Amino acid sequence: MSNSSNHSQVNCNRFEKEAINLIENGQPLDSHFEDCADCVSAKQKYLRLISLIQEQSQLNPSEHWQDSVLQNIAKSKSKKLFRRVSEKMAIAASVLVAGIITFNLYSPALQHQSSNNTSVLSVSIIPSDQQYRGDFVKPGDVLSVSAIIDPKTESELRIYRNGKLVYSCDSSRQKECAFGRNKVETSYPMNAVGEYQVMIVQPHSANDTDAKPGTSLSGRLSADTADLLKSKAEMTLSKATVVR
Amino acid sequence: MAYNEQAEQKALLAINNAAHETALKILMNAYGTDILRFCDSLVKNESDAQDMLQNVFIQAHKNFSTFKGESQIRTWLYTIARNRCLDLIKSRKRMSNYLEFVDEVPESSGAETEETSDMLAAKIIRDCLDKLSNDVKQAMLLRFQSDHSYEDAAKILQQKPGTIQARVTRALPTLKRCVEENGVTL
Repeated sequence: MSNSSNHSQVNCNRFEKEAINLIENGQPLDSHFEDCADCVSAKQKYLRLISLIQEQSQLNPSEHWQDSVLQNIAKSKSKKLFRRVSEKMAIAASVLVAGIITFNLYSPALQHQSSNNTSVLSVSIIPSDQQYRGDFVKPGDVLSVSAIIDPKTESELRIYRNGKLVYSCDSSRQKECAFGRNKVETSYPMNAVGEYQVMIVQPHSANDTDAKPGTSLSGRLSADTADLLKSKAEMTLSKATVVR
Repeated sequence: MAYNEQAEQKALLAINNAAHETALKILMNAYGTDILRFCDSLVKNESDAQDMLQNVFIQAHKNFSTFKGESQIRTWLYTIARNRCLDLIKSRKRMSNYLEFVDEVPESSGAETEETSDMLAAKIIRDCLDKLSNDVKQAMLLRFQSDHSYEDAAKILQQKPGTIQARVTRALPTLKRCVEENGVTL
């Protein structure tokens, strides 16, 4: 490295003024630039300048940089996948919740149940014989009912056939059905064809002593349901069992 | 390493076949070092340059499906690199404006390393390149450091090839004078 003042007095400056432009345009240089010592020297200096620009960074990529890039991409892919699945699950959950809300809105009986229900009703059929039965419940089959009830309230179990009350029992009539502390069980032989439904009725709350279940009910399923809804009593209704 | 036709063709085929990881590996091998040095010249910090290198290829992988093949893949990669580096420089400026009011950061710390004449020449040419305007500096780097044609450099810088060429030919004598005045014998 030395001061370049000795080299700065270039007599011919055609290289700087013309040749750089010609070279960068991809055009050939005339013979002057090969014969003129100043231009030959200037050309060498420009070539050296360009090589300095090329070499001014000698940095090399860090070890394993390619692995880091690939790992980063794999990570973001799994994140994206997780986000997509989460979004789909969120949509599915929203649709499900919306469906449940809509169903409850348009189903007053169920709406009432879902908000207050403390009883769980289970209904099963005990066949009267072991013959081939097909898909239907036959006369003589027994309806076996089991329900978990709120022990703090007075409950009633009612069975309807074709919308009419055919059987009822409550905790004061223990002979007909077995009332436990928080459970009631009974068996009812379905001797006649028709559609059977079981209902568990409980007053709105333990303090609601006036609302004794079933006392003012007409015995018709549709009217009883409406009356119970009005009185805000808790009501659980089983699916219909059809005897043919 | 300049334009690598074989790598370009293989990578393009892989992109068209949606084998993006294969394409990425080919391009990282072909252009990784060049892009790192271009970024290093722009951001002037080794650690940042290494980060930029990774970011460039991550972004490229993300955008392979949008690559239309209107330019060389190398040109496209350099465009990404330039944009990422300029973003970093801008964010640094914003940060330094903030830091000015918070703390004075010392320019250098620790032991000085002994500089060889090559290292000194490299430092001087970097300083002289920094004295040029940003556009001219980038044009010089694209033309001479990474050996781009003026057409490709123009695509990366989003300017006309003639404009880039005029700037480079005007800047060369200025750069030459700068390095000579700072003691480098050409």
